[in-house]
Amino acid sequence: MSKKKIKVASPQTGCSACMPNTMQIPLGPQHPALKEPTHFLLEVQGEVVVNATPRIGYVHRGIEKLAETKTYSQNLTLVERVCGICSHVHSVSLANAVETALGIEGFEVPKRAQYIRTIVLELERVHSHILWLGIAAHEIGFDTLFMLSWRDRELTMDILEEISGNRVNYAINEIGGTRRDLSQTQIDRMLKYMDITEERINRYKDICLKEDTIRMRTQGIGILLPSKARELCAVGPTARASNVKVDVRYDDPYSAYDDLRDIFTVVTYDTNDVFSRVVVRIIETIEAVKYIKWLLKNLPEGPVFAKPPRKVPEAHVLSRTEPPRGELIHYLWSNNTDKPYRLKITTPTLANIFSVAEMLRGDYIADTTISLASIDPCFSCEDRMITIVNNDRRKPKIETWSESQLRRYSKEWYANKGWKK
Amino acid sequence: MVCKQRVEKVSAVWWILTILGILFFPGIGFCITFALIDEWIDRKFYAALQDRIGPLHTGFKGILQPLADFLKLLSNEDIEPEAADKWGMRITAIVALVIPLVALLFIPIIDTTGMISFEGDILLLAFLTTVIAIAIYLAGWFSANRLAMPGTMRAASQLLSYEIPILLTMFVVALRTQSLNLADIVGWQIDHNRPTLFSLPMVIFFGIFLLSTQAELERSPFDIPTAETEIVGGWEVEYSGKKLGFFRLSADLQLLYAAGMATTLFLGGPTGIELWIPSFAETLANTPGYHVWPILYYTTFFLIKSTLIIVILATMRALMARIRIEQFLEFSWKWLIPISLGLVIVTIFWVPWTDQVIWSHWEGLFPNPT
Repeated sequence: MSKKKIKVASPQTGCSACMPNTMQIPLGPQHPALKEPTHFLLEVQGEVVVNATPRIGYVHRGIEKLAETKTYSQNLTLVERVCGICSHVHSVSLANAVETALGIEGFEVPKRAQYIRTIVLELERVHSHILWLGIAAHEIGFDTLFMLSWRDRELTMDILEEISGNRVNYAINEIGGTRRDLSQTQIDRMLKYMDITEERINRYKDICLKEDTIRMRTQGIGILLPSKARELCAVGPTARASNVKVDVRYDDPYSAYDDLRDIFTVVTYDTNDVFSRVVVRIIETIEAVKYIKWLLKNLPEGPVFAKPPRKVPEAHVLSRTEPPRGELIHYLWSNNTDKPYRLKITTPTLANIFSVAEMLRGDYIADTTISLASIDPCFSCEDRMITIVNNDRRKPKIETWSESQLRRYSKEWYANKGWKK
Repeated sequence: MVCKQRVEKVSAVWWILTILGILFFPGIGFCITFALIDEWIDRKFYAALQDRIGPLHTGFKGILQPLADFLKLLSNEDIEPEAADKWGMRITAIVALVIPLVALLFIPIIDTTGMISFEGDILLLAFLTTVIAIAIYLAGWFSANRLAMPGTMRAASQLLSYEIPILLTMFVVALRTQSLNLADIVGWQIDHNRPTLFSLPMVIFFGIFLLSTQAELERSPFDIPTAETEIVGGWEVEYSGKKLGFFRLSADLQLLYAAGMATTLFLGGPTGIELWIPSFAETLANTPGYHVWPILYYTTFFLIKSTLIIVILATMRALMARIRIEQFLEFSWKWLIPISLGLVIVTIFWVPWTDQVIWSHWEGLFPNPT
């Protein structure tokens, strides 16, 4: 058996030695419940998980490094590919960062463009939350809800396709505004579709609150107490489901969220379990539909694009946004050229990964996948590269690469076209 | 075909007819064909409930899709892990396929008697269903996989919780009809002009039987031992190719067997309108043509009734989320088993009384021509 291999993968082998009668069950990297590769090493006693150790880094793509070689306009296209589901929010985040840096020289984005961006952001939230509802239903073996909710998600996808031309990477953003404007027919159609979506989501809310088997599978599992949520820096719906009132849209408004503050509600729920996350996400979807309708009705007139200067002045900008999964941070270091000197991206799943390890502790094996899915994970977005120097975590040893070492490594890497010798 | 009178007169023709019956109709060939069609009905109906289309391209509206799936699995590479008990895996796959086929020979399909019928065959069927569950337990055990182990343990603990209600249901029907023979149970229903279902505790037993059957067939919401999103297929994780094909076909046959069992025990078996028009049975037996019309008539009614059961099971599959193993055990031991035990007592003491008071009037409505 590959027992030795798994021990190497586990950073905490010391712990299994002190837990008697435990069996190690790997959750991932390949698992039918995981859409992307990640690894959790579960130590189980019977059917109860006593410890879970996450390991990430299976799909590291080097996007941050690649961003340094491209211009800002090209980078919008690149960062949209960070995540397949919350793609628009990445480009908004980078555009916000760049426009803030340009703002030093008095550059301003038209109001209508900000509104259109926010509409697409909220549409993205609607489709992402419905998608998550379907996945969660699939994890607990309720395929009917999965199929029906994904059917109704198509309405939102149709709107997105109509206004941007694409279903996944909308590419509606440009630095200084948006590429496309909304026509009156589009607005009318969106209002009509949003009415239908709201009605359907209300129905799913009823189903989730009343259906017994859903409650049996989601209540009382994956507990994350508010104190733990704060301690482990949980973000987004995961934190709000633990009754922690954080939402970047309300705390630190960007784009058009400033105008929405009067009707904005930060949705929280206080049962701290998976059920709480289901409720928070569904109510958030209903809220998002409400914001879309408000934004469409109060859409200001004017241009959607202002031509920005090519070069961005030297600045350090921290741009915070709220994707459907939690807080997203883009840190931009510009150096008076048309390319960023450094772009650092921290996605919400990375912030929530320790919360998952906490949630899994004390669950049954049957509940691990729904607990894991309850943070709406997106592993390809968050992957980091880690070099484990020594396998024994009790005696940590950190290795730092010097610049000459890195240069030599990159030369070897490119010489072998990515293959190790 | 194999009537009771002929069993006594063993001749060469009888042997040929029996062997043909076991091989083709209503034996292996017919059962496998109809089991595959049942899977198609199940999938189509399940898809319709989810606003999908379901199998579409192979044959008429995808009717050949289950067969295509089976043939494709047969042609797949058969991988056996090094640490596994290889002969154990092979034998359990074959045993799991053969036992439902044997059990189906007892079900009355083309006649009010099964292919094989003797006093106490209901006991043998109870034994056979348990052997299938044990074969599944062994299948997980032999495959020596980390994820198969929890699935195996779940299958074993689930086995006790659904076998007891199923056995109680079978025996309560036997109590009601004063017989341990499936043919006599069908006969009782013809004699009394009503399916067993039509009396108060039997309706509840019918529900209990369907729930336990769903658990035995490992279908949602009781697909706990093979939960794909939790333990990657559970006990069947190491099975591929022919062996997986055998297990899949076995699951279809078990579905047909369970539907047939429910039909026989509760819905009057393959009988149709002669329950209410007793003279019709006479007419049917006297029609010209060598037993063809009765066979067609009985088979049609059996297929209609078993399809109805399959549709009910498919609806149950679509309506609920999968429950956890300890929730299922709690449900079974706290509700299903006490209720069935209580209703057994009701059946013993209360039902004979209602028979005298109510049902004797009912039977008076259908005067027997003889």
